[in-house]
Amino acid sequence: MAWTILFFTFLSAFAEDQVAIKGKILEKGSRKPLTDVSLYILPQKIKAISDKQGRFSFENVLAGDCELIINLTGYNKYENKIACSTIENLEIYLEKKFYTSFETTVTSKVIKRDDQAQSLTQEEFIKAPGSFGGDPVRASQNLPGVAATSGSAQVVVQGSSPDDTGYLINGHRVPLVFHFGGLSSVIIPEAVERVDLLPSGYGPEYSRAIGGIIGLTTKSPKEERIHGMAYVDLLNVGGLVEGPLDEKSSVFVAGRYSYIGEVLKKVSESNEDFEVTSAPVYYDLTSIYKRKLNDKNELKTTFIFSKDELKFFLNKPINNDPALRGKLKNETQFFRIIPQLKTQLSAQHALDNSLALGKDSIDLNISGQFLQVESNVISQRSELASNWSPTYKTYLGLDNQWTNTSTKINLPTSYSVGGVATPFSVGEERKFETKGNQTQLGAYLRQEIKTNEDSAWTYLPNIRVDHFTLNKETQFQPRPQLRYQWDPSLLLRGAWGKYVQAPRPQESSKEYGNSELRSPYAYHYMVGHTKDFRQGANQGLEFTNNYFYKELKDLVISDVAKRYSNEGTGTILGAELQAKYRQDEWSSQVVYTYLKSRRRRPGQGETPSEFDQTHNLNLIGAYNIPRWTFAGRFRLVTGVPYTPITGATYDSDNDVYIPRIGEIYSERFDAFKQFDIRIDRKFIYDTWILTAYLEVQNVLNAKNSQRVEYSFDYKAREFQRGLPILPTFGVKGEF
Amino acid sequence: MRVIYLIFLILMVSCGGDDFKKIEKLGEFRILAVLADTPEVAAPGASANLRLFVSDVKAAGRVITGTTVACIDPGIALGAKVSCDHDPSALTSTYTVDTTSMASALYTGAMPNKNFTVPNNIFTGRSPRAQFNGIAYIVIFNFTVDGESISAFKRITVTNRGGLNNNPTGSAILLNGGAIAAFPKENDELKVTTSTSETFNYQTIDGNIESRTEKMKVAWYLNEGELAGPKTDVGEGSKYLGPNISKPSLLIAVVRDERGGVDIVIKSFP
Repeated sequence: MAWTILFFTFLSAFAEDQVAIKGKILEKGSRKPLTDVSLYILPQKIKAISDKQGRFSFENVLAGDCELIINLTGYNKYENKIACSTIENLEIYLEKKFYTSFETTVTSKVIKRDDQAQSLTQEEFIKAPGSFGGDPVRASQNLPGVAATSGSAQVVVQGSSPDDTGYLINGHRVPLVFHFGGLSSVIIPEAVERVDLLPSGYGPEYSRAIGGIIGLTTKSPKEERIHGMAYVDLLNVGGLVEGPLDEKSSVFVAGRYSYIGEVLKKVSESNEDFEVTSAPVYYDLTSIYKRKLNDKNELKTTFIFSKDELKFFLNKPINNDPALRGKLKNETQFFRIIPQLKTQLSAQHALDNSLALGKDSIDLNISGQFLQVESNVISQRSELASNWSPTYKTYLGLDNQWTNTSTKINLPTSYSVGGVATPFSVGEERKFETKGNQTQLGAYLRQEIKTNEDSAWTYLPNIRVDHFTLNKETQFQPRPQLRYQWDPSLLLRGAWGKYVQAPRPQESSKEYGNSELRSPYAYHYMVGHTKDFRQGANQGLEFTNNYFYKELKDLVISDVAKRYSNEGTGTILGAELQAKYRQDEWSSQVVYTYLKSRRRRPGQGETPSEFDQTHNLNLIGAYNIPRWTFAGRFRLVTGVPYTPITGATYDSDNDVYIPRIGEIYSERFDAFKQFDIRIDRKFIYDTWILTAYLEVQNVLNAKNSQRVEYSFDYKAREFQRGLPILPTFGVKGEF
Repeated sequence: MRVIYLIFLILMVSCGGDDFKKIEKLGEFRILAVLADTPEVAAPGASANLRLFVSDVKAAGRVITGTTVACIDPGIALGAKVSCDHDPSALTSTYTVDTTSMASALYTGAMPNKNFTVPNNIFTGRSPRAQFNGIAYIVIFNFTVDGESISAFKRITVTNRGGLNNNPTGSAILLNGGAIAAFPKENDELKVTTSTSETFNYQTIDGNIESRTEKMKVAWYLNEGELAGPKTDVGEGSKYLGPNISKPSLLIAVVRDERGGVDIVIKSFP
């Protein structure tokens, strides 16, 4: 910059009296063109306004000393003395005051179609403390009603099993959302525009998940210029490139590779009990292509590929199961190609069509016993949104999925009650090969009705129907919702609905499970309100409060006679609140959930479920100053219940002890406490930005019990702790 | 699928149960195996003799009276409790463990036989596949020792397959490939030699008959020291991790054919 000024100063000596100054104004670091910015040359008080490309032009400027002034809200004031002369290409980089968000997480109303939805935008989840480097799904655990399973990061939505939660990418189901069962999402965070949580009472657009839905929406590639990003941290290395291909299309390509396996392999070298035969690896690729076909049609295609590979050799068997020794391997991978076509049919009608084509594969081998699954998957969604009048809107949609699966299996049957499974060695062998098709058809109608334009009431008599070829069931699911806008700052809402999901393939397999199984279902009831005390400002208090109740029916449970049966039932009752307060550089949140999650099974009465965490408190705060963000999260959660083991009987034929269980889920771990911090520092250069972050999980090194480990004969036990203090560090460069 | 992540997680973050008693270490009263003279019988109404192989090193000889209860398998392989509560015709009797007369100072060995007869109705209502692969009649041994409940069970398998299973024969324990003459020293490798594995027919869930070969496994026990591999395949070595000892000691290999057949090779060293 200094050289530029000197150069122009030199030129000015030869300038004529009136000159023209042309140039571009860009955001420092991101190179984003700044539009509609007023630039002034003093003392002549000449004004120019930048165009869409950030270009500006001053004409008839008197040559000589002058001062260029730019004062744009949200940016540092720009004042620069220059020698005015003819300048053709002056580049000005305007520095933003804040390059980081004020908030760590927000329950924003991104999707305003469904009042029950809670969402996090990329800006919010990428800096969330405790999210392992901005993982969108892990960050969603800061939302009300969401918890994590003991010992991993599987998502527990309002006391429901993680298996009862559907994971979607762009509305289409994916087989898994985490690498290595809970380490990190299968998609690079920068490719995700937002993550939506749909808990109790969600609308008719989605189904086949009686607990809730976690949906990731991929972003649209940037169109104005080429961007790039590369990062490295303790777990991964990754990068992306995005930008326009031509005037109508743009593309985003990203990849990520984890070398955590190399670290684990090193750790295992000092452990005589097992050795990692090849370093555990996961990686994922994401690409997004967007093209504006014409004024009415827009195409966006997302490609996702994810692979996990883990192989190790157990020299010694697991304490409680001698069958678990030798070679163990697990490889999982899937891909999806998701083209989405948005068509604006008319001013009142819009049509969204999308497909997902993909393949899932699992290759599991435990000491020679195996499970190999290959599935070809096609899913399809269509939705016609019609704005018939100011008082009547409809959304009519289809949601279908077809799966062709080929399975080779040689595994013992598994039986589990109260979280205690019979040893692998004892199970009855199941060896077979099977191929089959499964189709899930769904149709829905969402309606938004007001009696008149000024009415505070909105009635949503929604309905959905699903058909499962697996068990030949057709299920009608009314899902009415009600909204009352008391005043502009206070929204009251309520919902009731039926939610159904097909039994899992292994449960309904005629060889391995019970082909007579019905579909588990649930009734959700919820009421809640949101009060925004900010009165239009962006500072102040927002308060959200929900009450929910779920009745779970026909739950699939292990059954000695039938292997699986529909004899399980349950209830979940809860209340959640979220208070968000923002003032100047500070933002804070209190998120609290109270719940009782109970299950019933024949002969055992009512017991807590393994996801019954009575109190779940999250305190989240952030302090944001230019270039720095300091964020912290404190979690205090009731310990999860577990089933005590009261003794064991020695199985002489299989050389293993079979545990005898006590009262189901009658004991609990101590309360879970964890304090996480995250510090972000940005270094802004004219054409790129360097970000460094330090994230420390469990700063207080709290010893949270997460599992019980037993001696071989179950006579002794000890509690296995969760992660100790864990600092991670990463750097990211972007342009 | 999650089980493998769980195993891996346990291994990575657990203390490895270092404070737990090692599975191969003998001390308190323990049932190491239940042996049947015929692990499989050909028809309902047949009988088999069962005997316990116990170890009670620390007690220096005593008499323990317990009970046995025998019934048709409630479906243990499918998750049923190990119990005869479901069967009103379950047979209960007493069983006595007496280690006082054992010559060894280590009080480990086989107890007397007890005969059990499989009920005539054991095939009733069972599928041809179940009858072919075998239906188990279980015998549960229950004891209360030093205030603790100790139990073990054994299956007598009834099958119409023909070609009944025989117990394997463990012939010798080898130390570094040669005949064992003394208790192992640190890093010595132990192996056991056995009879050859039998082949047998198995009916798969889709009705096919498969010819299979037994996979012989070994469970190792000792009263002193520690082994790297307390469970091995036959032919696979198990390394002794030490320490080097000179007092009376015991080394046991329990050979199983994974079909109920068991044999025991025991070596004691003065």
